[in-house]
Amino acid sequence: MTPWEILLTTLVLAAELALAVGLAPLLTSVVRRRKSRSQRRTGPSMIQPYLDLAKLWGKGTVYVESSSAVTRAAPLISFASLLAAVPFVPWFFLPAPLGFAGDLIVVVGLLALSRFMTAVAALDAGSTFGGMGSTRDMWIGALFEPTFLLVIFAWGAPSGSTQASTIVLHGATLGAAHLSPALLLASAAFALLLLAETGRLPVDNPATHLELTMVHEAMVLEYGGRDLALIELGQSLRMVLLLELFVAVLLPWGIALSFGLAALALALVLLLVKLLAASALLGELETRVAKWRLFRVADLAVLSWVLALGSISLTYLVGVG
Amino acid sequence: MSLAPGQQLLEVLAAVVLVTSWISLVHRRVAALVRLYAAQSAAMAAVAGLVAYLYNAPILYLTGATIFGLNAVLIPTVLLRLQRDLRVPDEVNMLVSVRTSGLAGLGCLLLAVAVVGPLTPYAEIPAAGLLPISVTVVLIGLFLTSTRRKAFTQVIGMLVMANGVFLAGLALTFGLGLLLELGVAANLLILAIVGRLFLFRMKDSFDTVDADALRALEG
Repeated sequence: MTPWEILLTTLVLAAELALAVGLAPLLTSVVRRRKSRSQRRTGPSMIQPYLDLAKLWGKGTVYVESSSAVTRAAPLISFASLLAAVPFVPWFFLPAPLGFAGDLIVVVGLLALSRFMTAVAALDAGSTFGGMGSTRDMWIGALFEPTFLLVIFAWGAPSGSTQASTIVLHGATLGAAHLSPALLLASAAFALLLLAETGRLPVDNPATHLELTMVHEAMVLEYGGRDLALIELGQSLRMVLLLELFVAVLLPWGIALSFGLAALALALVLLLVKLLAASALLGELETRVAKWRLFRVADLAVLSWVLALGSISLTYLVGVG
Repeated sequence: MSLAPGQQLLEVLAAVVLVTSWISLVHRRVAALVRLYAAQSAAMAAVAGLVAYLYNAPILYLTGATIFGLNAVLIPTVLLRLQRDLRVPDEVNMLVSVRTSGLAGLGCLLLAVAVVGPLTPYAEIPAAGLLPISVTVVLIGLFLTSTRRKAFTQVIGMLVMANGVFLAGLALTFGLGLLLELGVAANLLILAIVGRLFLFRMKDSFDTVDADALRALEG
């Protein structure tokens, strides 16, 4: 790489980090707005998540007396690992800035690290709800992690790589032939995974504070102030990250392959459109289903395994590309 | 893997048929099973129409129209009305758990691939995935029929099986020939009607449509 390219890649990296973090609350807001509209409510204003974050950021933090350093460090580590996953996913430019350092399996690991830190912190404070939430969350995580890996293998099968950039590039050059049955099955499995990973209905209800049904909310009960702001932003960031991975692989067209101004502008606009549409769809979906009994989540996980494994079998056994 | 767009669309539609039968395996609501069957039949009709277009076999348009009218519209309507009239509870009663059912669905695919896979090179098939998928759907229908308690859901299992046979027919012979197709379609309708009569009689005699109640008839 020439120094010029290194500089440009660094700029892309910075832009993508800023974009991901900046967009995260907006997309959460879109999901909420879509949800409230389909329930005939006005719903909060679109900038409410930003206002909430600003308010939390200005507040002091109080820690439980019995808690250790884990409680203090967890929100930072959890957020940082999500932030670190951002440059591994293609946003508006190919190749992804940190693509040389790792593939999509790194993203799985970073998401798992973030989940682990939140769960450990919930145990640290010693409240019953925290422990309940973390066992549930780790259980759900363990159920869906196989799906994540299988989907990555299924996505990577046509291009022979688990590298996000290679997968997306392969898809973008393939045209309509990219939308093969195997890809669609794997993407359907990923959609189920997305619901579970981001704590959406029917797996977890992000809008509730009813103790018996909470998963994620139960884990972060002890937090306030800046820590809570980081956790909430992290939760939105996790959603944006997974949504972006989903739309980037499913609809890879329009991503910028060179530093041309027109290509970059088009890629940015398309990125926004895809992400907004995907979040609106997520909100719509959320109004159509009820929260499931916790143990039924395993049924959902089984369906996602079947879809992902089915996609791989179609590719390798049947030869349906 | 470079396929013609038409063939790729064919495989996507076949995958839709496959996914609807997988979801039928893990769904717990009777009404949803009927709607899934309707969606599956609509995808089947599209497969027939597409094969007709790609291979210039206009008779298959008629087959597609028959499948759509009968399997996607008429039979589901009859079944939903039947469910309402008989007050069949919406819960699906299973002999095996939802999770086992789901994994069995995957097993059906693997079995179908193992059995039909070696044949694929010898047959002239519009798209490679069509034959294994159709056999999978037949197996899933069989599984649904044999592991669901209510006669009502067993009827749906039979219908899913019939869809699989249809798909296999489309895959292997570009449609079984119109007369045969119409015959099978008529049979399906008769199945639905006989199922209806049978269920009414059963509800009269036993006050339930749970097929296990038939055990009381054992001498």
